Amino acid sequence: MISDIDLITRVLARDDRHAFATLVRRYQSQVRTLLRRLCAGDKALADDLAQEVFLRAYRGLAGYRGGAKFSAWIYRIAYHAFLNDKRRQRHREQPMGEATHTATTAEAAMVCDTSVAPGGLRRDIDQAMTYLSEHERAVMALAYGMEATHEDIAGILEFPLGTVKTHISRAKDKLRRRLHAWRPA
Amino acid sequence: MNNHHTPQGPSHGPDQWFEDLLHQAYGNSTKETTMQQSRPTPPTGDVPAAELENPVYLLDDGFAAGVVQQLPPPRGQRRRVRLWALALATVAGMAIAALLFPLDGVYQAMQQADFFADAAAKLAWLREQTAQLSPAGITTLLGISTLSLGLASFWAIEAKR
Repeated sequence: MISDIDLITRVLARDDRHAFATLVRRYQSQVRTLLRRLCAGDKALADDLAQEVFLRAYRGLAGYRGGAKFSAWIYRIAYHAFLNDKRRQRHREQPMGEATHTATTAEAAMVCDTSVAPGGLRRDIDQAMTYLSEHERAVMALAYGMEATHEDIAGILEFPLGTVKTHISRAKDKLRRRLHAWRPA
Repeated sequence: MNNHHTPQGPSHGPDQWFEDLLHQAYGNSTKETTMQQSRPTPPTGDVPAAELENPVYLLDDGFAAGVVQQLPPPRGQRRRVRLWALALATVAGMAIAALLFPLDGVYQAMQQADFFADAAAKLAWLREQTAQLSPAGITTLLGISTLSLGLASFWAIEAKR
């Protein structure tokens, strides 16, 4: 299998579309999965953002430094694409920005039907994720979804290591409260 | 993995149910209903086997093709388009100039001034012609020249990127 660096070199040297398509095929699953988690399960939005991520990656490929993993580089682009989209959303829905964080108890009630698990769990987690800040959501998606270490996450999100740990701790506290209904009796 | 890897943190304690829950939702043991559950066959061997083994692996499903379709045209094609555009702009500029300054008259004037033999006569003729131009004519000529230079510079810079 051709290495990422060889593929990138081909794209940069010869504008090789086939090499770039190979890179997209290689990373599309991780990027789309990460974005689906960041977008709390909104698959259409996540896939739109994923397309944007790869187009940005194509335009900025010359700026990729081989020192870091390509996956880390593209996750960073995905995270920034997600943040930009959130900013655009906030701009559009200015007065409703806090709506998700002031949800009523009824809205916050978790579906705890184990007959549909893990789909039900997935939905509940996605819903619970909407109560996290963007940074907390990102660290959780990377830590649990992408199997990234804290150091990896610090590199991807360009946060200090201590900040990553704080975000994870806070996110877990919030999620634990929101998902309490899933605690075994 | 090291101690900073959250999913492999402490494996027991009162909050173990929560860690298990997160692993179940995000980890490799989950088969999400929204994602592909059958193991895909890599069409070209492009994807690492470990990734394909991941139960939450998303099939390409035309995604890569969609991205490639949206890429800007290849660099060679862009350069060709720019050259054609430059050629068209030049022809258009010449056509406008020909309309404004009839070429027959210009050619005859050049012959009369022995333009093709004597360099000094050329300059004198040019000075004379320029002096005869109306302000509107000078403005038009300068406009066409500036526009052509600007476009040529822009395309040259773009082609270098």
